[in-house]
Amino acid sequence: MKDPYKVLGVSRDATDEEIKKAYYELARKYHPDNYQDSPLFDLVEEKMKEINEAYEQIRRERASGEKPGSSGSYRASSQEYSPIYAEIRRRINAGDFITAEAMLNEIPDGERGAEWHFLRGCVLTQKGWYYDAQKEFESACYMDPGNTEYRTALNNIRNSAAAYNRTYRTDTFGGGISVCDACTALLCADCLCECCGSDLISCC
Amino acid sequence: MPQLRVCEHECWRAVYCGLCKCMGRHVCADSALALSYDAAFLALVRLAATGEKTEISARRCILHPTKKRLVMEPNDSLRFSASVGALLAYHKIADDFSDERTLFRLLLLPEAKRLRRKAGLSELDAIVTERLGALYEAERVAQKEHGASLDKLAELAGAALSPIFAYRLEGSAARVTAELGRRVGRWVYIADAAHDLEKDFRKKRFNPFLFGAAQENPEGGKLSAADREAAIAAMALERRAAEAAINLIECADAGIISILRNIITLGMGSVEEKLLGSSGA
Repeated sequence: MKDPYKVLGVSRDATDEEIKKAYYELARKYHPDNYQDSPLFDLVEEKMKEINEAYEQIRRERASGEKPGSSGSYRASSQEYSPIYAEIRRRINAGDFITAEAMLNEIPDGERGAEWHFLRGCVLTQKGWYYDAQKEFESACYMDPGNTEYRTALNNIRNSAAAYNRTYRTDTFGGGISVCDACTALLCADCLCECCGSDLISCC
Repeated sequence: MPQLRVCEHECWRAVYCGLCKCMGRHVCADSALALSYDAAFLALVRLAATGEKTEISARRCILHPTKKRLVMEPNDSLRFSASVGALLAYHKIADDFSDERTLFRLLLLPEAKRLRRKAGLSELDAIVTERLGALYEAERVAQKEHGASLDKLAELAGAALSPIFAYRLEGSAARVTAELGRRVGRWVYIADAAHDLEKDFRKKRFNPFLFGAAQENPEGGKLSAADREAAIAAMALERRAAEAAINLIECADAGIISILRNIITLGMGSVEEKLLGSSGA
């Protein structure tokens, strides 16, 4: 198995922040989304898997004070912390989002893997914090690109929003809207932004 | 669905003109200058939630002396929205002044304070001031720590608007209007952040998008593709939640509900497209 530090291209003295930065740069570079139509898709999947495993290995070693390279195998964080996450999932399924969020917050920063981000995204979705929820699902997908559960969760939010937009666009523009209607609606929305200090239609 | 029929458009105009007259009479003569569509939107929500009877008549005004216009006669919803319009004008001027201390804004402050006093909603004003204060403090901390949760800040903005919508309502009407206010407040905050992004980047001012955008694109205050996609979806879902709240308002006047739905779906949706473009574009 390759040295995880070499995989991420960082020295063994690198700070946690430098490792995280290196990981995100590589994850962005090799993310499967960039290769959807490429014949090299399988190669990039392998590469991402290697990067994820290296990152998880370093984080695990540093969190537990383990010496680098003392572990014989690399496991994804979702498997590593499954007892805690299983309990959090149980709480979420039971609708106990407050406890689930509190449990997630108690997990130290260094131990927050893909599943942590996914579960936090689930909690935030339930709160109606859709922007942050998408960011958490994105992080989960970056860390574990092959996981269909995480990808589906992100797609579900995007698809719900797209479906909502399609509904009213079809019902309004498709049904023949007058110029007057559109202007009135625009003006109404403009003013909603004015109350927070911005101005979408500068002339009014 | 969300298309204004002629009668709905007339109702909207009557509410707007009625609110203008109400501000002049109920708050103070020059308060009508602070008339805004957000107060008119609030008036529609309050009319729908309270179900109070309305009366519309044709009147002339100083701006339209030659032709009579449909005007809603003063009622509790209009009077309350007129006061809130004055109150929000004060908070906007005070916020603008704290953002950028120009002489013009300094000169506006005494008038803004007078509007606040004349609004006569001291109890509600105390709540709104406290919640806006919490938002500004959270923004200050986020700026200092160079990191912000957009939703956390948007939630504080929603929490400031929510009690205005639900003021002195009870039962399900209070819950539904509070949720509507929260959702509209959140949407406005995100829209405002997207609208001001480039300007804030240029002037080195706080913007909740800026931390992520600056990381992705150090060239300027532009949203990354991922942030833009997330913002588009988040704003659409805020509107969906707002429309869901509107659907729960028990209102006999289907026209008012139709106008509100029109604003949420068509008007605010158009603003989103103007700010962020279409999804996948």
